Amino acid sequence: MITLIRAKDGTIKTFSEKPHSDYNLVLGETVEQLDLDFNTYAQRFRFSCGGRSGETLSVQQGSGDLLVDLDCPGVETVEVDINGLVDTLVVVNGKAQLTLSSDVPGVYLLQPADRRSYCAAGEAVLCIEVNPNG
Amino acid sequence: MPYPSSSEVSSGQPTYAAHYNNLRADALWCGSNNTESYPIGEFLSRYAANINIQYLATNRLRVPVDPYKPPTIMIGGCMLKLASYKDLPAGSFSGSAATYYIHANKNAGSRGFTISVNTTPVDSDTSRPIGTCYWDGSSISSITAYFSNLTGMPDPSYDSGWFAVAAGTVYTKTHGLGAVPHMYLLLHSTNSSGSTENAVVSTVKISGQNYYYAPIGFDSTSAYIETGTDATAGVICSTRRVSSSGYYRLQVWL
Repeated sequence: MITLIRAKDGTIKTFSEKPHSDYNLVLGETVEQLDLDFNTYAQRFRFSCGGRSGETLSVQQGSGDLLVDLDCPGVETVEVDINGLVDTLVVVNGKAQLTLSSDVPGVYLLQPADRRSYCAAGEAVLCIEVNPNG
Repeated sequence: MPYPSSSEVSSGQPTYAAHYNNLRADALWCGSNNTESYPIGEFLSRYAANINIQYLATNRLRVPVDPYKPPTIMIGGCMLKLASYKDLPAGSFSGSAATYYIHANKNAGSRGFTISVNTTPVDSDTSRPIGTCYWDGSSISSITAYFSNLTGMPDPSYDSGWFAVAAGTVYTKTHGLGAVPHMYLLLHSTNSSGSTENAVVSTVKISGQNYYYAPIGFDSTSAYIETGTDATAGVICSTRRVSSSGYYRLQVWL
């Protein structure tokens, strides 16, 4: 049994492996109890790059393409938000991939576009920092 | 001081006042006297040991028994010991939030003791407080045992379990302890099972600033965790890890 907290606008704010006492919720938030395993729920939408997820990755400018994996079982396509731009990925056997360039310094922030279906937290958010040379 | 001060009496040997008094001195003062020693019964009158208190669902308490370290206590001059665990009766808590004192109770005709709770710490010839717990109006949220023999760090008074986090968000966790915790530990994991390194969260970063902030505060009811807004280091910024996502786990001790 896990606990899901939705923000006032219906997007999923967080999910927790333990029950949540609801009397201290921020105004407008709602709580749902789901009969699901916490780890299973966390794998519904999971970015990784080079096997790493849930942390900021730091790469050097010009270090080649960055191959990002997405685990998203149970769907055929999924929309991802990359620095505010939405891209649709084809999902095959629960997995999708996208490639990012490391040519230009900056920060990539990847997260689910549909935040009512997927929680933009945990392993569903991936930050990759491309650091300038020199 | 020779101890014992009394000596064996042979068969047929008359016993005298000195025999009796030496024997009494041994029994009461371990061979000493009443000007240099308290009587052993008085000395042990506040004795209690090995009395651990556990939570027992739902809203009950249990004093467990380890046969090698049994719970023992002196109440009203009687030396009492538990041979099997003792549970608090159901329905012992009611009403609004309050600190309850857990009492050990001596019962006529028994060498064991029972447990009860009430809101006063005062003891008597038949009752002694052995701990406290906090009743928040609907559930027990923390337990303190005065005479526990547990060694090492006690289990946390509250454990949030893992929960998913992102930058720029306030997470309110209701610990329900009735007081601001004395100590806390906020951990970060990159996966939901917590099987990766658990990095300690001390600081998070605010977007556009080169300052780092502690992300947590408490009141008597809740913990407020506010992640930083920085896209790269809003959730944790340490030498061990930088992240704006992942999972937190909060543990607090009262």
